[in-house]
Amino acid sequence: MSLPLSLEAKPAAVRASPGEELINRCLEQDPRAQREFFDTYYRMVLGITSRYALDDQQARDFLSRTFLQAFNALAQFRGEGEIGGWLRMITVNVCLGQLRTKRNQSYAELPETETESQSPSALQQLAMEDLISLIQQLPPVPRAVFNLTAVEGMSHRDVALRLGISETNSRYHLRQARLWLQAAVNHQNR
Amino acid sequence: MDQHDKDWLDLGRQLKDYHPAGDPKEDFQALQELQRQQPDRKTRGLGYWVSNNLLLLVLLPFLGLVAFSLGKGQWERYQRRAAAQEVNFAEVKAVEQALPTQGFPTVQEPSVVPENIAEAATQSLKTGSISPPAKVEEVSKKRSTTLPGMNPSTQDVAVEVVGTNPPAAFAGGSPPMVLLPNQSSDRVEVAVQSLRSAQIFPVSRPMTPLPVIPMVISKQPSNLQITLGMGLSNHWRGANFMQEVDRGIYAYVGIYRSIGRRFGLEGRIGYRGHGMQLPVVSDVDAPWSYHKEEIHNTGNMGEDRAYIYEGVVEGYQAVEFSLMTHYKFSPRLSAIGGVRYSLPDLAFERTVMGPDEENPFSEFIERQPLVEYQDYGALLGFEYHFSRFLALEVGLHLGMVDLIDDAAAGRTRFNHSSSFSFGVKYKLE
Repeated sequence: MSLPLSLEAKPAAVRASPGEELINRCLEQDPRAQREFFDTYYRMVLGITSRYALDDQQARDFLSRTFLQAFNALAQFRGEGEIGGWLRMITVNVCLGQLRTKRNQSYAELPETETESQSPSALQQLAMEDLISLIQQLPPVPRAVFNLTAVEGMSHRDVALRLGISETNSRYHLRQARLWLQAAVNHQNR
Repeated sequence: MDQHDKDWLDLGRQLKDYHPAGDPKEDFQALQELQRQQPDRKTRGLGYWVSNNLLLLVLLPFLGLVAFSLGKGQWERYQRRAAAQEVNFAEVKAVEQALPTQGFPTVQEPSVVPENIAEAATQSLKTGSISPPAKVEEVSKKRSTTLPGMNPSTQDVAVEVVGTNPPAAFAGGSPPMVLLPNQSSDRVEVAVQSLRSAQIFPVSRPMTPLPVIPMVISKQPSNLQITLGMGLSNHWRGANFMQEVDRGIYAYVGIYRSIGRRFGLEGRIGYRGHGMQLPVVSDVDAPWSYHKEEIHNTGNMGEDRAYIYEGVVEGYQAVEFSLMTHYKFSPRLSAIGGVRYSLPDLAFERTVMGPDEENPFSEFIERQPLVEYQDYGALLGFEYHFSRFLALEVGLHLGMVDLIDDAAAGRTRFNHSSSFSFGVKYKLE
C-alpha cells in the first residue's frame, strides 16, 4: 500500500509523533491500534452522530459506519491539520449520506409552532442528553439543517449545496427547527 | 449580533463540545463485525452494481453493434478496393502481353521453362499444396526450352527449380506465376509464365472467382421496415433555452414505409425517461399553488416567508407516439419531420412532511394524481445511414406540456418543454 508523502518513511532523526505512529499502525491493520484509535475518538464521533440520528441505536450505527469508512480512507489522510477534524468531516458526510438514503421514512409530525419566542434560554437550561433527544425528534431535513448551521457553523449557501435545497429552504428549515425545539421545551415545562 | 443570536451561538457551541458517554467495547465489536462483512458485501454487490449501471449495460450492446457495423463496412470497402486493384493489375498485364514486343529496345532473353516444371506448377496450383520454397534461378540458354503454348518472342524469363522437389518451386512463398482473376482454376496451364521479379506476386492456391460484394446502400430498399432505436436525450423546461436540463434515455420500435424514391413514412411507439428535479412546494399564503418559488428576504436567518417543501418530482417517464415523414437527401442522409404525442407519468418523492391537518396541499397530493397533463410537440431531425441496417439519428423535439397550474381552480398552463436526442437506429427488413 502506498502511503501519502507525509506518512511515508521519514528519516530516522525525525521521530513520528504519537498520533502519526497510531495512524501508521492503523494503516498496517493492527487491531490494537485500531482499538486505540476507536477509543480515542469514540466520544467525539458519538456526539456528532447522536445529533444527526433518529435515536441512539441509529447513532451507534452511524458511528460504526464512520469508523469503517475512516479506516478504509485513512491512507488518504495527508497529515494536513488534525486527524480529529478529518474524522469530524467524515462523520458528517456519513450522517448526511444516511439521511439521503432514508428520506422516505416517516417521522413524527412537527408540533404546533410558536412564533412569539425564539430565545434558546429555555433550551440552555436543559440537560444535554435531553436536548439531544429533542433534536433527534426533528424531521430529517430540519435536523440536518440545524446541525449544519447552528452547530457546525456552515452558511446557508453551503448547506443548500450539501443538501440539494435552496438557501431559502435552508433558512426556513432552520427556523422551523428552532421553533419546534422551543415548542417542545415549552410543552415539557407545562 | 443581538443577544438572541448569541444565545443560539452558545447553544451550538455547547452541542458541538458535547461528548456523550457510551460503551466503546460493545461498539468496537459492532465495528469489527461490520469489517468482517465488508468483503461479503463487495462480492454480493453484483445485483446492486447491475441495477446502478443498467443504462450502461443497455447502451454497451448498441455501441458494440455500431462498432461492429462500422468495422464490417470498412472491411467490405477494403475487400472491394483490393479486388478492384487485382482486376486492374490483371487487365494491365493482359494488355501488356498482347502488345507486340519487337518494337521495344529491351534485350530479349530466350525464356525456357522445362516441361516438368510447368507440370509441377500446374499440379501445385490444382492441389493448393504448400511446400518449402525451393531455389529458383535462371537457367542457361542451352538448357532452356520453350514451354508449349508460350510465345518465345515475349519477355518471358525461364526458370528452373534446383532441388529434388520440383513442385515446391511454385508452392512456396512467391511462386513466379500470374493467374488472371477471371480465369477458372482449371486453366492454370496457360498461366505458368512470369516476367520480371517486380511483377511476381504470390499465388499459393487455386483462385476462386471473387464474390460479388453488395452495395452498402441498396438502391431499391424494401418498402416496409421495422425500426428499433435508442439513445440519450437532453431535456429542458422553462421559458429560457436550456434553463433546466435533465438527461435521459429513449427507446422505440416503429414501422417505416418508403413512398417513392425519396419519401418515407414512419410510425413509432416509444419510451422516454429522464430526470426532472421539479420541487413541489406549497406556499403558506397560496397553498394550492402548484409550483412557485420566490425568495422574500424579510429579515435575518429564519425570517423568510414560509414555504414548505412537500416533495420533489424526481423522474419523468412517458409513452410516446410519433408519426414522421422522411426525406432522403442522399442514400445516406435523410431529414425527419413529424409530430409526437406523449402520455407521461411523474415519479414523486415526498421529502418533508408538513402539518397535514393545516395544509390542504397535502390532502391534494394524497388524493389526486400529482399532475395530469399531456405532452404535444413537433420533431425535427436527421438520420445518417452507416449501412442499410444501421443509422445514427439526431432529433430536436419542441413540445408543450400541459401542467397543472392551480389545482383548486382546475386551471392548467402550457409550459415549454423540449429535448435534444442522439441515438442509433436499427432497421429490420
